[in-house]
Amino acid sequence: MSRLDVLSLTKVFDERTVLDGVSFSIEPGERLALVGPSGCGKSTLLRIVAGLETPDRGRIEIDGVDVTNVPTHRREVGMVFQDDQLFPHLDVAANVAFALRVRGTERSERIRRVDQLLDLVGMRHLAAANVGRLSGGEAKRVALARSLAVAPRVLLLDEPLTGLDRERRDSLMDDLRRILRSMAESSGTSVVLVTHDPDEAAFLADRTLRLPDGRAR
Amino acid sequence: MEKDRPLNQRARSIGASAWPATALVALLVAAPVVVLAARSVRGGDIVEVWSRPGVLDAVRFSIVIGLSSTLVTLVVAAGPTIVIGRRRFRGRAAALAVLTAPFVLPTVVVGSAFLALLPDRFDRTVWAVLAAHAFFNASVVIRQVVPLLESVPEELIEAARTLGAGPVRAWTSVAWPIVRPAVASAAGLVFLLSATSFGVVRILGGPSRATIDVEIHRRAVLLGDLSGATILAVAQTLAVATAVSIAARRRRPAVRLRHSATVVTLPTAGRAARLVIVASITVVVAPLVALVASSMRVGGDWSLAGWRMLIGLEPLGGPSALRIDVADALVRSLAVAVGAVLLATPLGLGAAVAAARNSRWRVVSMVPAAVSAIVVGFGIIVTYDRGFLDWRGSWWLVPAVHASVALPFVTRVVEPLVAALPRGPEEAAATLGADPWTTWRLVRLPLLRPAISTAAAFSAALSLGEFGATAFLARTDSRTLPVLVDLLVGRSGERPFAAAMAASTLLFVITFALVLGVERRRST
Repeated sequence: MSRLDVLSLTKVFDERTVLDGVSFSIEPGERLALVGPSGCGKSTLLRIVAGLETPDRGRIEIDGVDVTNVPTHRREVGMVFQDDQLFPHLDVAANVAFALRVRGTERSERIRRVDQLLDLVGMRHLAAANVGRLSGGEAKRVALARSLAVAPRVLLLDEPLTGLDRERRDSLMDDLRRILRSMAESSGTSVVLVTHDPDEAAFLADRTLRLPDGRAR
Repeated sequence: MEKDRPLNQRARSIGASAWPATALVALLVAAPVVVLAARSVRGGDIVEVWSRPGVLDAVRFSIVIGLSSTLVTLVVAAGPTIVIGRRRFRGRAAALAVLTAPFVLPTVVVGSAFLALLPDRFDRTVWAVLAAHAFFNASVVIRQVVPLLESVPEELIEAARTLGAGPVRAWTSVAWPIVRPAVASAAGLVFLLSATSFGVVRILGGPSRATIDVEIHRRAVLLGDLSGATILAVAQTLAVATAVSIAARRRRPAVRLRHSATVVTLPTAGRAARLVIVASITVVVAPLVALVASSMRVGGDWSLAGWRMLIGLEPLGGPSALRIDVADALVRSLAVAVGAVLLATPLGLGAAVAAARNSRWRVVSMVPAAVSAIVVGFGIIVTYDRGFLDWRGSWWLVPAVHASVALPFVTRVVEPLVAALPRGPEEAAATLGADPWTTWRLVRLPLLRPAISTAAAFSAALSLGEFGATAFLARTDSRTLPVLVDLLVGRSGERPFAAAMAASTLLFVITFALVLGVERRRST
């Protein structure tokens, strides 16, 4: 059974069709990159999978269950937003602990898990930092750690390396591949990654799908 | 529209969050007004009422005091508004906070302060009322006009100068069109506040001067002329509601600056400008200093008797039939304010959330603003007076009425921030497994906290000073401080006066501290 099935997805914004009958499937632990020029509907597709937008037609299934009408918080889908969306009122550790707090995880377990995640992304030294003071690369690492806190079934990454300088991008890219692989092995987390850079796609993903004009080919 | 909302937010866009506020306003504001209206039509005295002695005088006095107060206020406020709006100087933020603070001072405090400040020959004169109105309302003008005035880029005025305009012409042709709508709306508000003035006129106006609000109270409470009070209340409500709805429709600025976000660098204040600020602050501080001083004087000597009476260490004295427990009123006022804050803040927040999504909900919080507190109080005692609906002595009634009075302020403070809340953090929370309620608790509420605490502080200040509705609702055994101050000021004798001044001073200190605390945090 596939982990994620996207079936004939169509989305129209203001009479402009941004997704037109897009379909694809990914297996547990598989990493798929969606590539294409900006404005081709890649981010919209991720937002529909996350439940942040509703499709005009088509279905989303996770582990064989139709989740098209299931609200975001019940989909067990993690997302790293293009602009990170860290909670400005919480420090780094509290941002990472958010999903654990929502689930009522015990405090001691929360602390242990947050330390582990911050180690994973190399951000332990900034655990108490104000998120407003982080650099672009640091913020991205925190956002990644936050989305992994409860091992999502599908992890959605929206342009995770955009806006970083060359050096930071390369170092994050290496770490990202390592982290995504270990998540796939340990919890079977599948990944859908959106990027406009074919090299990035080839480096991070097992498979690449082009979305030239909103239709998967 | 509905389809574009994330799935986890759809169910709540029917305005359910505004329902508790709607219920409060419907029960304590709308229903009493409707009952008053029905009675005024049924009574058949609609025409005859106007020939009763004092009624037309009150209407005339309301209009005259409204217009003259507006004129005096605009003149008095012009200097500090222009200097703060167009000049940079050290302590500018503090000066703005002090000069705009009088607006939240309880009306009885302002009345008492001018009673303490002005020489005896001005007591109970129209001049005293005018001075108090200007003191109180200049802060309205400053608060509304300064933000627009400071946004006018100096370059724009300089550009006009290079095109041949003299300094005055440059101002009238460039800055004035931008600030004019704010000045007009401030003037309208000042007129409304002055024409419906109650506390200030009761304390400073003397027995022969009454605005419509004072006349409603006089007829209902002293003369037992319920039909007269009812018809006046309905007429007053119609007039105010019409004015408020016209003002609300005209709030759009005539000229909008293209780059409202640009930071304007203002020229440094010169000597004359500094003098204006020092003089204005002196004018604001002087009555308050006089108030504090007179709270510590009894019969021309320094004494703390007023304060001892306030905290219950000393009885007020006088005939036992008229015994008044000052300390009891203090405790009650504080308890009522806590209750009002606990009710107004969540209800106002709920109304603000609904209004941010659909502006039609804004009407819920506009209704209490359009009905004078006197009318609310009077309407309630004639509406809820029998059977299980006899609420007149209920402990919760005064806090609930204060909450409805504070509601418009809460929503006005909170709604713009709710509307401006970024979607991103909420979406992130949803992807992390937070249901809508948890998202509220862990993300939206913390992000709104500054606005909520500002709203709570304003609600507390309003409740502590609320006098119009409470004048009707408080009974002999449930007086709040403003009601007590009004009562004590009307008594003869040095000791009641000292106790009144002590109570006013305490009200002033608490409300000033609340508002300055909030302003301070907002500016840092």
